[in-house]
Amino acid sequence: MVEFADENIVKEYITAKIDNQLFGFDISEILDVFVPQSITRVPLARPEISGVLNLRGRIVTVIDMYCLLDIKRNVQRTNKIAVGISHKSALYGLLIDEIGEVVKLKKSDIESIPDTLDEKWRSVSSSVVQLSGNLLVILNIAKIFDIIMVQNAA
Amino acid sequence: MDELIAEFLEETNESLDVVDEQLVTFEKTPDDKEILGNIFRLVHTIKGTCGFLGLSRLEKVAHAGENLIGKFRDGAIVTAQAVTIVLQGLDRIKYIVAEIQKTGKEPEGNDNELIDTINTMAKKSLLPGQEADVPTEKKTKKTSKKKQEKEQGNETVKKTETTIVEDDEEQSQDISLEELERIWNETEVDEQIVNKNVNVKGNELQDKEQIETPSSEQKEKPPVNFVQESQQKIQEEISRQNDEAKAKPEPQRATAESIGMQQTIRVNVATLENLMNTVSELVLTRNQLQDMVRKEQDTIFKAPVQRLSNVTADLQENIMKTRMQPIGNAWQKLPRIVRDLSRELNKKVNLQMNGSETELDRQVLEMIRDPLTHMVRNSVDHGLETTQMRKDLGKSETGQIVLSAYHQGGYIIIELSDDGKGLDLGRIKQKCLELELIKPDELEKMTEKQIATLIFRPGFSTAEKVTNVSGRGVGMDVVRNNIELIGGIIDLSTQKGEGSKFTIKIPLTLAIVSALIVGVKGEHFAIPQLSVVELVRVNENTNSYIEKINHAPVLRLRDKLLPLLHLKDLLVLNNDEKDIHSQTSEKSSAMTEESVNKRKNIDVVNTETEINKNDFIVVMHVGDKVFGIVVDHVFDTEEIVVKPVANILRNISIYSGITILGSGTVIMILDPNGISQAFGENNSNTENYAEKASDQNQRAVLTNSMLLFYKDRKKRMPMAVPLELITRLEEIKTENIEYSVDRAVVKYRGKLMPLIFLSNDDDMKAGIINVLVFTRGEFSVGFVVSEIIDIIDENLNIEMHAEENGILGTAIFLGNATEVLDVGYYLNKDFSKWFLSTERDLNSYKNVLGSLLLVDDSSFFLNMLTPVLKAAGYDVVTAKSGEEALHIIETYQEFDLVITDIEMPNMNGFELTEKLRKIPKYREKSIFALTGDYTSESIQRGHQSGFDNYIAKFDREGLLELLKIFFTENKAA
Repeated sequence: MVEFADENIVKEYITAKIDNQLFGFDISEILDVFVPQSITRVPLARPEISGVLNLRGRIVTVIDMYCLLDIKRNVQRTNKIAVGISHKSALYGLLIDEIGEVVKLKKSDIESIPDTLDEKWRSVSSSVVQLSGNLLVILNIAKIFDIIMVQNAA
Repeated sequence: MDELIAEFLEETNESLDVVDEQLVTFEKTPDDKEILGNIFRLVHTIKGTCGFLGLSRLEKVAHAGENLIGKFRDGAIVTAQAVTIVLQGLDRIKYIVAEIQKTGKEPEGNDNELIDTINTMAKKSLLPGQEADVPTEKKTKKTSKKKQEKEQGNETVKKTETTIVEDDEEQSQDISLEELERIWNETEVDEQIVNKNVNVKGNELQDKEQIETPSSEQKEKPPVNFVQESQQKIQEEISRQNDEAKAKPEPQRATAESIGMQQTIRVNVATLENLMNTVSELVLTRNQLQDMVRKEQDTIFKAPVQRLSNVTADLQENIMKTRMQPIGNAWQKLPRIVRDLSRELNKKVNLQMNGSETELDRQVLEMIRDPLTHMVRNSVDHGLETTQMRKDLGKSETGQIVLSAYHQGGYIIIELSDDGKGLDLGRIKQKCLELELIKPDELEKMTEKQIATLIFRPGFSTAEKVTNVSGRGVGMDVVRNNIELIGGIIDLSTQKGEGSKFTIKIPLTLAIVSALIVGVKGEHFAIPQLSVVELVRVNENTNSYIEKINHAPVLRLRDKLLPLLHLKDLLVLNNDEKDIHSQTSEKSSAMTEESVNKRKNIDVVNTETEINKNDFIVVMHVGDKVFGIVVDHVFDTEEIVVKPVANILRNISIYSGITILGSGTVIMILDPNGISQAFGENNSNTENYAEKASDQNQRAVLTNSMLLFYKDRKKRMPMAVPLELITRLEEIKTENIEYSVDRAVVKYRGKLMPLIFLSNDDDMKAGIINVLVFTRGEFSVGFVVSEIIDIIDENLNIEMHAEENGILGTAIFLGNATEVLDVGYYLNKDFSKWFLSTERDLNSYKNVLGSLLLVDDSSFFLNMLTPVLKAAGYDVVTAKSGEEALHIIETYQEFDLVITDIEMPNMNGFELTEKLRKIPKYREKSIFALTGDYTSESIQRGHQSGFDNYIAKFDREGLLELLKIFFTENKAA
């Protein structure tokens, strides 16, 4: 569950679309949103790691959210966008389809993850929110890295 | 912790290291008053500072130590026992310092027992001509006034007092020392120095400095000057100096400045690291800018970018310098360790350390400190025999351990050699089998060198029993791991009964490395240059063999079979079938990069392939493995800034980092160790086969490998030459050939290489030609041939001797009559200098023109000059210092001539000459000086000091000429 110190405190989330599904990131964790260019492939890396790129002189490791969330690519995406985050002092870019608007949520909006949610999704998200008919799955960045590291070790 | 205490601890640790080292030197050369003076000063400084900081326990120990050392300084005889006691005292100081560092205060307990021992020793150490003394009692009292508390200390001090005061005669010395102290403290210069110090070092240190400085700075002179003097003279000397000091404060101050006050500041390491990172970023940005500018013609940015580039390079270099520390820092503790070990193990050991001023990155330094210590311990423990054994073997009783460091092309080379028993390969084998580190059948296939490297396997130990020193199973594998962790490699060679030598090669810095950029399947990767031995080009016109053993490709390179792996397979870039087929022989070329570790094999490349035309094979040497990685392209070498890979990629052992190239592209850096491992997994069978086949092949080489070739394009009759004479095969474009006077030359490895045309046909003077390169020492000659046919293993059996010059005769190879080339004829005809050296080879050193001893502290220079002199026919023995030279002359042999460097530490060329002139045999011997300082004054000085001749250091030709004249005259006389 997302930590809210108080019932009335509002937290901001940025929404992202991956294969028409809405996902949310805690806005305080997002450093940047950028269009990734010339990604260098990293052979032998796990499939969800698209590669590495140079973002203004810094090295960013790009993670393909499609792959991570086990979503089949139906359409060839043209406009890829990446959400830049930092984890343990390294920079990462999470590849998504579209960036959406920022939503403000109160603790009361947040619901726990339904059991019916895809196993893979459950493993990287912390909660869900009903947002005007759409389900917004809030992703937990720490969990994303945990799962990749676990898979790496396997 | 108190900032003052923290600083004190840091300084104390530094001082202790120095003292440790010097004490051991001192034990060996007890008459070296200078060293003793230094030691005394250091301990004294520790004591003084402790007193000020209220560290009473520490102070007492330091005081007692100082007491004893003071005795030696005043001329008492230094016994090994005494040194041991002093070292014990230092150990205690270290212990207390370490405790303070941990807890912020002195540990509980007292050191009365130790102090008693030290004092007893001090009492026993009688000065010649007087009985004993009470050294610094008064000083302690003085210092104690400065302290707030001293309850715990009082008891001990009293005890010390009573022990010492018993002797009446001691009073005289007591007075003199007190006198000394008084005079020093009263000297006007004191304040000036203190003030100076304070200005430089900053206010918060003021108090400390005031105490520290008089003792450390002012005692500088007296100890050195006094010691040999009698008591009275000391007094006179003090007052004289004192007067002098009063009379001439100016020069005094100047010396003080030059002695203790370098213009330095302490900077936090983190700050430097930060700076380094920032500069790395700057370098990247600079590279990108340069790349952009390169693409644009005529841009106004060209000049500023160029300027930026220069400034960045400067900045980078300077920042790197701040990170550099002399390797001696990592060595400081070694003399002490060796000394203690040698006592413990009852071996006489002499540790010689060369090149301790060689600098390397502090990060690297930290990483090699422990491995080095471990290796030195090993050398003493396993490497050297006991004194008795050495005697029985007829070796000198004292075992030599030589540790040297020097720079070589962006790397630092550290060598550790001993003259002990060498590695016992039989025992290693046996042990490996016992410990089940290796399977018997694997072992059988191994060469001696490979067996020796088994000591790097985890869990290996041959020590007969577990001693304090070694044999605990934490061994060379840890050493190797540590060294490989910093991108270094370790190698060893050993000779039974003569000793072993370990060679460590590590990059100067970890942050920026030189890398080879390769491409495969459109992707680029960087391979650190350190592990790249050479590049072999595979192309259509090569006379070469890529063979298949057990379906895996191997490269036949200079009669060794190297396992091959395509990078795209290694990285699983696609699963295409490897299309490597055997094929008939074609021509070969070797685009090779000379590696440092020369194998004795002949550099002839025989690859046969159609992998992909124009593929490259990157031959890599990692640990004890040599293998080839096939890549599609080789682009460039580039200085790259190594960045760590993200956490989630660290599990892939094949990458060691990431970098951004000048073009802005991000590429992965391949980890040679990772590749080597992956190789083993993918390819272990091949490797074994390859090794086995390679062994067989080497045996075959012993029979006789002949290189068959056509001398012209008409291909009438093949010719043959023994392969072992050939150093290398090259392809050269005829347009690169230049004709000077009557001789054809080509630029080859930065030098001009003369070419000999075996055929007069004009069609050989166009297009691409093959050249057989023969090298002896510094000198290479190329034989131009039209086509290389094959290499065959067959006994050379000349059936028909030739009338024609240049042909030894005719033999049958592959069923064809083949002319055997008489290399000597051409060389003799065209290059007399060459012939001299080949003739010498043939006569196996019978006609030595003369013997000479070459003395120079730079091993680089020795290595450079020795082969030249040997090739010119002289018997050369080298010495790395004046001391060594004297030793050699005294113990081994007489030389016709001594050539010595002038600028050498400890004993310079002038001093050596003077010493030599005192040896009867050398009174009339010729001594030549070598120097970089070739001015008329120094030449004059050289002649005055007894040099017979004076040669500029890098004038090789001049030297050879002079030697020729000298030995001709000498013979005539």
